[in-house]
Amino acid sequence: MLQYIWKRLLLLIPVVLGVSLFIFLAVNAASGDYVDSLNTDDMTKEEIIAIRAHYGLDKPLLVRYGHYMLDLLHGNLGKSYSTGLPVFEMFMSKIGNTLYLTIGASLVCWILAIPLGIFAAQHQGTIFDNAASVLGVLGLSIPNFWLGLVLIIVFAQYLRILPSGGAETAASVILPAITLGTGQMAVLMRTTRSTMVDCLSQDYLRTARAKGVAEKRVINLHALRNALIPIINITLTQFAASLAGAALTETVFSWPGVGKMIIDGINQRDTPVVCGSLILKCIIISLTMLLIDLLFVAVDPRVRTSFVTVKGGKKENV
Amino acid sequence: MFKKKEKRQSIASQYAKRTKLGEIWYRLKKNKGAMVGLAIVALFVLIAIFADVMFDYDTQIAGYNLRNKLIKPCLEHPFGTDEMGRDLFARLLYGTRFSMAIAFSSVLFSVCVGLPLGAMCGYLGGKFDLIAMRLLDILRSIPGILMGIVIVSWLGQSTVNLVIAIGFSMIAPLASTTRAAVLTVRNTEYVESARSIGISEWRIVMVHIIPNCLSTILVQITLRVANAIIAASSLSFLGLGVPIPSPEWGALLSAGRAHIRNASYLTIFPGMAIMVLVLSLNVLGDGLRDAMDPKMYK
Repeated sequence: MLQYIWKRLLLLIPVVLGVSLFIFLAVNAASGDYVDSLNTDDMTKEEIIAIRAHYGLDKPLLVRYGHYMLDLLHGNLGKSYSTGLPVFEMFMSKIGNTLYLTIGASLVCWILAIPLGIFAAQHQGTIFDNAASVLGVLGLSIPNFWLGLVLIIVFAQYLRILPSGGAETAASVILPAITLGTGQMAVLMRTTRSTMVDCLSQDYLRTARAKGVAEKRVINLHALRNALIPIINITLTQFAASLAGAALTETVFSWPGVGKMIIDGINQRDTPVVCGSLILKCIIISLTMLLIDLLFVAVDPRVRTSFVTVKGGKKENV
Repeated sequence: MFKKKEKRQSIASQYAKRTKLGEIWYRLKKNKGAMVGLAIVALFVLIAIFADVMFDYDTQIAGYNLRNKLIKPCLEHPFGTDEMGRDLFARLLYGTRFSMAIAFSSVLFSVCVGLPLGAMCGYLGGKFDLIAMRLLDILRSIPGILMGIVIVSWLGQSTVNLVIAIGFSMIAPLASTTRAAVLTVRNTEYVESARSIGISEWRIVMVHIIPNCLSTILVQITLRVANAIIAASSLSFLGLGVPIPSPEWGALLSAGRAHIRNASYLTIFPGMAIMVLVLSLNVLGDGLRDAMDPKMYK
């Protein structure tokens, strides 16, 4: 078991290497570097050269990558060009906001998706089931950022009951959470429905009903418990994905989170911020995947006995 | 009574005549939702093809007339006009061409790379599979939208680069779907017998394996086109899409966002267009999956 965890953690190394190489090269190969994104009109040529040298931007790309990796080995993610703060600190200061948003979104998602999925499975083939599946496809088809804008138009402009952006008041989280949560809802609802459909046709449910167990108990205790594995899997994967930065939603609502930081970083060619945040993000996602697999071992005796790990299901890109 | 028997016989004779494709079509036809989806997608394709017959690009789409700016939806301008006095309805219809072309070409790009890659991984297995899959894992750990942003800012902002960026971010999922499909077919008896009579590996993959995975892959492609439309509009929305004044849907949305306070229709209609097309593609994709799934056949 321990050996397995170690193996998974070791597999993180090539992923981090690959991601950092790809991002580092791509962001650096982009036309123009950080200095170009500054307003350099009233600087002399020497000053510009001095700034480049200060950030090490005058050195060849591979040398810079080498330096970056050397720092990374020492646990140093570098400093942001634009703010001068260490990237790790910046990430940590933003992750709280993102965590807050993610929890809100997940609550919206669970409250809507799981009961709806169970309900659809119970009424398989009826009009309720069809309505739920239409709702599911609709959730997959609405562009998330557009939903955010529509919510802003309705709730912030016409009704004037909720703020349209920022994170100043407690109510600010409501609209972004609904936007992000409904996007995730569709996938979770479909998974819940299909696993519940599988579970509901199992023999042990018939046995339970024959014994006279109340229908509510049959569904909630006997069926749902066995359907939990895929549900947990999707839930945690989505949680990790949006924790790592729901870039679009955060941009639409000017939510000061990690996703917005990465997008701003790309626009400013702030390589350390982009690279460092994406590396941390990958680590978060990979650790969550590991956690999911370990959780399976804890929840499902079938997995425990055979110790064949269930591979993480579909990954969701947000 | 008699009619019923006749009907049954005609169904039986139809069934006997149907080819595999005909069978899929027959089953798809029974799925009302999928047929509606297909009709809407076909309509959008027609609009995309004949956009330049309906509108003159230089005067009606890109040309501006500030006297007409920000007119609310009315009879003459069903979706209103934008800040340059351009008719949103016309721009939206013309934008179908951009959005669809970008979506289809980026999916084509990812198919051209992902399909052979996935097929080789699944068929060859071994070290090649291991290394390629690890590389794809790395690509997959970067969310699609961020990857798109990075690639567009790397290559520069243009329509072609947008296609590359979206296509590139879809390679990994497509390759792994193909790989999984190939893995299920690889060890079947007919592949074994093809090998035993000395057919070349290449021919086995091209003639025997890929056609048998096509149904899975086709469904993936339909759903990927839907994803690509959303991805393209997301990137355009962030200002990384097609250059102005091209009326791509995401670009329209992005332009409309500036007037969200005084002209919210500029934001609402483009998003609806995206939603309707993506919804149709998703419903069609789901219908295709059901039609091709032998388990669903009753």
